[in-house]
Amino acid sequence: MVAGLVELSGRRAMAVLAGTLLLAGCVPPDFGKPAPTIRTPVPAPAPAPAPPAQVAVIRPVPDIAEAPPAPAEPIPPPRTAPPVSSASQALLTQSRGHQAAGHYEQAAASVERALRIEPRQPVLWLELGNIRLLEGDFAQAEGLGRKALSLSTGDAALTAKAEQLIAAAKKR
Amino acid sequence: MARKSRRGLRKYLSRQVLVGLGLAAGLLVAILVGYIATLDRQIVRQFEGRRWDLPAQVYARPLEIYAGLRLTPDDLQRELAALGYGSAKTTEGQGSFSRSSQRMAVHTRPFQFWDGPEPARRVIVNFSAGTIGSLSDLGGQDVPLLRLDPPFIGNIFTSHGEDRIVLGPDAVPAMLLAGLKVVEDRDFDKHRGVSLRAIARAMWANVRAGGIEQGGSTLTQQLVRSYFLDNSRTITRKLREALMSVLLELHFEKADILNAYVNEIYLGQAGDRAIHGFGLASQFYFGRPLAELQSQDIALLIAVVRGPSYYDPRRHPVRTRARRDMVLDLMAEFGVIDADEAVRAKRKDLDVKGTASNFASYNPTFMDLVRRELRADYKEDDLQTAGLKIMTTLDPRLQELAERRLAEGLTELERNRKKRKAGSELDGAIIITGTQTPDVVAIVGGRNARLKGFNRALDAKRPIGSLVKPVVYLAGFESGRYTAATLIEDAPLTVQLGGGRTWSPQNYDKAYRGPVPAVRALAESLNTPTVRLGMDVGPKRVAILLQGLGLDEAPRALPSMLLGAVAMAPIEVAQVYNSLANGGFRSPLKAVRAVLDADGKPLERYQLKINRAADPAAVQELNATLTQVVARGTGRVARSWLPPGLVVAGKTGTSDDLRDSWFAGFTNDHVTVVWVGADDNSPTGLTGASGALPVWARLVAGYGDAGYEPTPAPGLTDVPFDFATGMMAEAGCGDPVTLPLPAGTVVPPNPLCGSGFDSLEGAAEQGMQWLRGLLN
Repeated sequence: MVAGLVELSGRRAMAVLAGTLLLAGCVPPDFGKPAPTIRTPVPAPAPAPAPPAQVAVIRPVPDIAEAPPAPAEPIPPPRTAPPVSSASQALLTQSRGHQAAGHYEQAAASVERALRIEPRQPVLWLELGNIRLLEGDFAQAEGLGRKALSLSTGDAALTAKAEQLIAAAKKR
Repeated sequence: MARKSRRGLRKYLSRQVLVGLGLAAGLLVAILVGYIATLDRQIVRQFEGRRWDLPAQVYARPLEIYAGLRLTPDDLQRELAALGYGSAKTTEGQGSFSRSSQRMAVHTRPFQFWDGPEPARRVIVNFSAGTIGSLSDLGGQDVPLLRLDPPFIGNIFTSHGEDRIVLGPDAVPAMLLAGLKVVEDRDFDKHRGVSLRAIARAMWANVRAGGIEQGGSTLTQQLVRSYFLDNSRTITRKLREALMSVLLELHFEKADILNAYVNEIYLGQAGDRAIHGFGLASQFYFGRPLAELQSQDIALLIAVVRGPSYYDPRRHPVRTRARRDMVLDLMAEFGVIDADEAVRAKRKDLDVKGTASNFASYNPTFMDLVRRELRADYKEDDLQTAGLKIMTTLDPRLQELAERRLAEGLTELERNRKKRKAGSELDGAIIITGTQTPDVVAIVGGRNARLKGFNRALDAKRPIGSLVKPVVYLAGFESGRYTAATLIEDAPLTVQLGGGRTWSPQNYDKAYRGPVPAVRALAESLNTPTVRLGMDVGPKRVAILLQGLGLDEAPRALPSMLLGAVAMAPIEVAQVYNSLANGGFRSPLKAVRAVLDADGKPLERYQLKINRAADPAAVQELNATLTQVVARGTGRVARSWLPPGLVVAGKTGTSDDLRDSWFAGFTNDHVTVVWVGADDNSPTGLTGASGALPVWARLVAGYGDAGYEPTPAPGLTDVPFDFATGMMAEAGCGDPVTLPLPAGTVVPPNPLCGSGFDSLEGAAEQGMQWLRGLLN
């Protein structure tokens, strides 16, 4: 029971909220306007009862590597990153050519071109991160790995690759 | 004795005179020889050095074309027209296109980019439903990607303003050289620098016509005159010029002299920028490279040589056209073109593009940013003289749109304000960047965008007001103690400042709403919940986060900073919001991508850099929360200008006494920051919603962008809840808003929603029980 109420404490907060709830029970609710605050005395709270059954509790989406999910909770279908477009693919091929020749800055330039075309494609961020890793720019390799990771949610294979890149960059 | 001696003296004296005369004559010759030698040195040095000051050439981003790109045939045609591509009906070869309704054939120009050459290519572009359906070569083979040549957007030139594009002998059309000789110097191939025949002919022609019909100067003399920038019509100047011309011809080949002439001669004026040489003149008058010009265009340039202000095709089209036609006749008469071609060319109108002024100073604000970025690596002198090619991020379409929207918007705001008789003249600034990239694609530094001067986008540091609030909430989300659904009390509060002083911030409307969810507090820009949250996580934490997202130094961590008592320039605000749109990653904004030298050899490249500045999941939650500003909060009014259904994330900002009006926000594709205020910092009577937001919304409506789309983040789950109260909500009950919240977030049940309650009393009791559970 964490994040429900903050900044409110003790009886006063109780009074405020309870008053709101009671009032909401008496008059037609008008959700477009601020709920009026009416301070009504309320009885002292009774010892804590169990939370009512109606309270929706949303648990963390289980990590695949960890415990199996509770059956009641729907798991979002695994997501795979969209395929790389043929324009980006052409630039990736070009970049690989430059990488093989040891021309890292040229290789990076080709990937950055692709990133301007598909800025949310994690594969491209990974590629750029790996180029920086090859070059020995570990700070950028890590930053780019984290960016790739942030765009890979739900795609286990890409997530693993991004984590590998980050780990490799941090080791140095 | 005396006589003898007198005679001797006379003899002696006459000998002295003779010697003196001889000496004087010798001295004169020596002086003359010395003078000639000096002239010789001067002219040889000038010519051989041939080091023209070449201002850096600045280019906008090249348009990349590929299947799937959102681009209409009109968009592409506009881009090609701006590049000076001609319709295939009138133009052949590189730099031409033809169009049917959903199909375009383009013959591109080659260009040397930093990462390699882009060859000239012939492609077919097929459009479907506002995007490019396919791209293929003439053989029907798919082309994955095509990069057009980048639009030229201006130069970084010297204070004397001389500008040119230098062409090698191979790049100059033979027709131009032949035409020049026919019109300006028919004996060029024979004379030795000066032509007595030409002078006589000119004098005769001038006497007959009583005007300046023909000049007697050879091309060589004109070149010499141009070198030394002296137009005084004195005899000594003429003599010196003639001497130098002869000397020049003694030392150098005709072909070299002619090539120097083509690059040197003055051909027009664009503001304080002098257009020299035919290469730049071709761009100045036709917007196309010299090699693509047709005979009527070449004849026009030759016509202009005689007097660029007298024969200005923009200001004096009639007499300039008459002279062009005379040039065409002469070219036909002397066999440079055939007679039919002359007849055909004379029928053509003067095909002059644009205006002199917009060629002169295309967007000084953007140039200013480019200059500042380059200053770290290049000396100002190199930028003005070394002929560097600067590749930038500018998107000309958005730049033009932003300039127009700001000027229109401010005019309209002033019209409305006049009714209320308020304040001094408004001005403003706009910055547009990418969302996942740091590219600055447009920047406007004032309502008159073409005017150099105070660059508000970079230099106007103003309090940002509520633009800071997203950072306060982000600090809350990052702390793990707040979510967008967390209830925070909206009620008066007093903050102890130390030393016995206190601060009691109020809401803008002086009304208080009781407990509200964070999303509502942020969307409606409520002050007291923001300060409560900010004091809870600590101003220090907020200040550090703000710095991480976009500032060089952390602002002082004062409580008042939580409501935006921190001055930032629009470009700094753009950096902060770019980091938010970028998912919590800070990528230093940039306008320069790469620099090439005059020969196209790659020099510097400015890398895309990125580092994590905030927790990506917290930023995703924040961005989704920011969509509610326009959906339900202070930015609601923007809905009437934005395309229906376009989701945007953003925030209004207003400084004390309504001095500064801000809106900063983003779609999926662009971050846009708008500031409106007065240069004298006087109150404008405008809030962020009434001043900057209308400009912002009407501008963003013109992008054609995709709406903001959340990026899935680990640990976030979509949760619906009531916007007003933060309680559970479902369809038909309350005002449900669905936001990605940290998994495990608990939303209080709404007694009026859903089933499971037998009565109102039961519902109230349930609510009470829930509350007790929470608080104990």
